[in-house]
Amino acid sequence: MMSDVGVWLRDVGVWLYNFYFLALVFVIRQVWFVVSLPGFGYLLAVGLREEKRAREGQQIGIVAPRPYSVESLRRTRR
Amino acid sequence: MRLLDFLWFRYSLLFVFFCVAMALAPQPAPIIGALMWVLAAVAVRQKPNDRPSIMERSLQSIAAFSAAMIFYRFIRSGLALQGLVAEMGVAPGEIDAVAEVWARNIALVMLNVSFAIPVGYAIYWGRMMFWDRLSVFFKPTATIEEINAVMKRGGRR
Repeated sequence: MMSDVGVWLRDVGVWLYNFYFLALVFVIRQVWFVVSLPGFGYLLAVGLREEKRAREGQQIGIVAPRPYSVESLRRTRR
Repeated sequence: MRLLDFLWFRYSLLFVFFCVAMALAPQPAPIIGALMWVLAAVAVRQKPNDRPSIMERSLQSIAAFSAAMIFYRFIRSGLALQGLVAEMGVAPGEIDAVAEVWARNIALVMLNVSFAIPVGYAIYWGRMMFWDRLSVFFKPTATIEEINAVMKRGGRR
């Protein structure tokens, strides 16, 4: 047997969960969310990677140039 | 360690803030905000040497635009100008209608002014991507041959 406060708290919880779910469904269906999510994911991945590099003491930003390719070696006969 | 020290938490917090703001904002503000994320990702991809400043400017612009949209929604629904309208000498019977019109106009002006944020960001983006080019040394996809060619022969193979 739940008290009145318990019933009230449970109703609030159910309402909050329903609201959260409805808001989630609303946002996921929007075009702007679908467009912005990859950009956010890429920025997050790059940020985490750069942070890891900085923590390990590696150089940030400057990208190491690509090594010689097989075609360029064959072309220049090095 | 505080939660705000984690980069993933800060970025996710910004994205949630952005989502809330864009869900409250009228079109075309949400799609413009989404394009700001796309532009930021493209710039970070193409300009690895300027990543810290690009990240800072992009996320600041996105946060400012989101805050401006929330501020617009607050103004639109919460501005009560009855006192000001009465102070300006409007007839008592028309105070409510006039206050509603003034509040709506102020909200419209706020919305239009806030579009200066993405416009300014787009100008910054174009200048940074196509005008402030450092040199061919800092091209992210440059090969060793290209760098050597530039250093020794001015770019000729």
